[in-house]
Amino acid sequence: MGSTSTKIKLRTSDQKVFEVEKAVAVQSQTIKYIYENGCPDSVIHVHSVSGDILSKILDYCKKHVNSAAGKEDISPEELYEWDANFVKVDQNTLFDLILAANCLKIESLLDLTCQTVANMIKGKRPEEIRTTFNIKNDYTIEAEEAVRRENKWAFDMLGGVGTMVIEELADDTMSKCVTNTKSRVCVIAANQIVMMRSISKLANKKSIDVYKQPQNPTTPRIKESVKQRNVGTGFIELFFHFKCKM
Amino acid sequence: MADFEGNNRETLEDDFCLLEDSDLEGDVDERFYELPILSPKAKAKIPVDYNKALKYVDRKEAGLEDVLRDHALHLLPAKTLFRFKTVSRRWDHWISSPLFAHRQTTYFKNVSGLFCQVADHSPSFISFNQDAYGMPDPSLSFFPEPVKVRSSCNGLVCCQGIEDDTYYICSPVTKEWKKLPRPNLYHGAKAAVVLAFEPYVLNFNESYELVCAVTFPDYPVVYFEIYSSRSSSWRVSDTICYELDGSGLHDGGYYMKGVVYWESSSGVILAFGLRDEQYGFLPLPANDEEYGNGALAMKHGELCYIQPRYQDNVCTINIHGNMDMSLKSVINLPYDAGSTFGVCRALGFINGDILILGLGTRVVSYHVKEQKVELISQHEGGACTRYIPYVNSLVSLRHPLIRDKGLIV
Repeated sequence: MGSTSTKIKLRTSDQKVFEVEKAVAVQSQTIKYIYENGCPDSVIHVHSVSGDILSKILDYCKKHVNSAAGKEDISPEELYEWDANFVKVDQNTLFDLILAANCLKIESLLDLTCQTVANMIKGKRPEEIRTTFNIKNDYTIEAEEAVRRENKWAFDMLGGVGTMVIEELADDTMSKCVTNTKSRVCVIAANQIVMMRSISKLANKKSIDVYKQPQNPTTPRIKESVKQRNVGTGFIELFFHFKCKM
Repeated sequence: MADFEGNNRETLEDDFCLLEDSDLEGDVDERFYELPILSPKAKAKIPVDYNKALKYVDRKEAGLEDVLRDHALHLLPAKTLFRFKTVSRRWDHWISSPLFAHRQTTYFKNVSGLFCQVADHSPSFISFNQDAYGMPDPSLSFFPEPVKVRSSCNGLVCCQGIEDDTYYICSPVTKEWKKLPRPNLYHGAKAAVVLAFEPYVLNFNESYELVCAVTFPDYPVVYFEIYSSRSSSWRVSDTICYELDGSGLHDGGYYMKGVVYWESSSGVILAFGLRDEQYGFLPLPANDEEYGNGALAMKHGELCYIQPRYQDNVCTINIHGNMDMSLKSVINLPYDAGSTFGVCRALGFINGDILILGLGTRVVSYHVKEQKVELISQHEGGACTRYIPYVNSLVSLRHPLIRDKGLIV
């Protein structure tokens, strides 16, 4: 057994060393390339992957290598089930797995994790996507509203009873707000346009008044006072995770 | 070529490494069409300084957003993608690209819902997930005349005009539609029609075929007339089936892996291979009382037949498979479905695990593993309602490279 199985050493970003069989390690195209073109005896550094993640990844590779080689008696459905359980991890771990699978070029793992993320986000709203993946919204208010209006049908989603929750943002997230003629700020939130106080008054306030534009013009306007973090010197952006009544 | 950038990037990375621009802000991002920038440093050093090379690979480490763009975005359905156009301008740019639409059509193949139509009324769409699957106009009112939905495949839908039996092909998401020329044979309103559309990664010109099993009132023959989008014309196949009385062909066939299947009331499934244009028969497990309630579907890449059986007020679902359509598994519905709702119809099988059933006026999904029943919709109609499974892809009827860039390919 010793002479037939070659081992490869991998060192992670947190200085953990893993020794794995070559067949398992070369599931990663990156490691395979490095191994075949470099010094086989040295340790391969995988700087961008931590020990925990690499350990999980090696489990995955081992399972798939063994199943393909017939070393493990596992049917395709059972392997599929095993994969489904493998990705039942918390969001951060899943994202780390995606980045590691991409960096190490393990195609099947990348497909599996990306499919998992796709299933996770397919029902989400754009605001949730921005928060989850830390994406900056570079739209102006009018531009975003124009795209939203053009594709109104895509925003027709299931909702709950109307509640309004402010999702807090990172301190340095700024975006432009546009004032209309009455010097009020309009922010687009979900399917509603939320009217806010004028910019000049915002700088001094600890809280702002948020008005919800009613869909039925005869219903009275609803005023909610909400706490707000860190008003900048002029421009703020607030996300409203707003669920509207169907 | 810019259109191969996605594939090119991966192969180039094997030999070189990419230096990505750190400045990602600013105007509409053209990176999707740019050629990757190669680093001359990495080129020279492998294999001696392989550690240095690996360091370069790490440093170029793609951010999560970029990995998602390249590997996850095209796995999402159309409604979700249109909504995500407002995530950021870059996302809007990626999603609106015609090449992305082609990619999504190739990868996203999940059955997203059912087009539902009672007699000649307007069609409607029953979505399996209202947040993720949808279209701008589910009643397909963008057609110039009222239509009957006949068949759908990977996002393309074939409809037939109610007045004059004209065939149309459309993409419900983009609202593009195309009127087909008249066929050579007379099809009438009852021809068994199946749309066959198989998108391939490198085949940018989406080509599809409309396969019609045409029958004649007094002759026991079946002709096959095929419309090909490549030639934009109809052609009657040389293959003629004399063994079957075509009048019993069930409306609503099934297409899978190059073969078109129709159920026949004479107890067989007629299979027609598109490549060699040969036909064959498979046994149909349904008997007379149950005819019309079963459905062909795909389970783990293989053809199967779902037959609901209703005995002693209990409904069980038989799954048949293999070349002889033998019984492979039986699913017991957890509650008394039949008597309460009248008729139990199989409508589809998703991901090998979720059964879609029509129970009376309701459409329910049954998760086999979790043994969970979910109500999807309740509406008018019943045994006469036609259900056509639909995939929410971004498929476009226009050539992706011609539309905006003015190229002729």
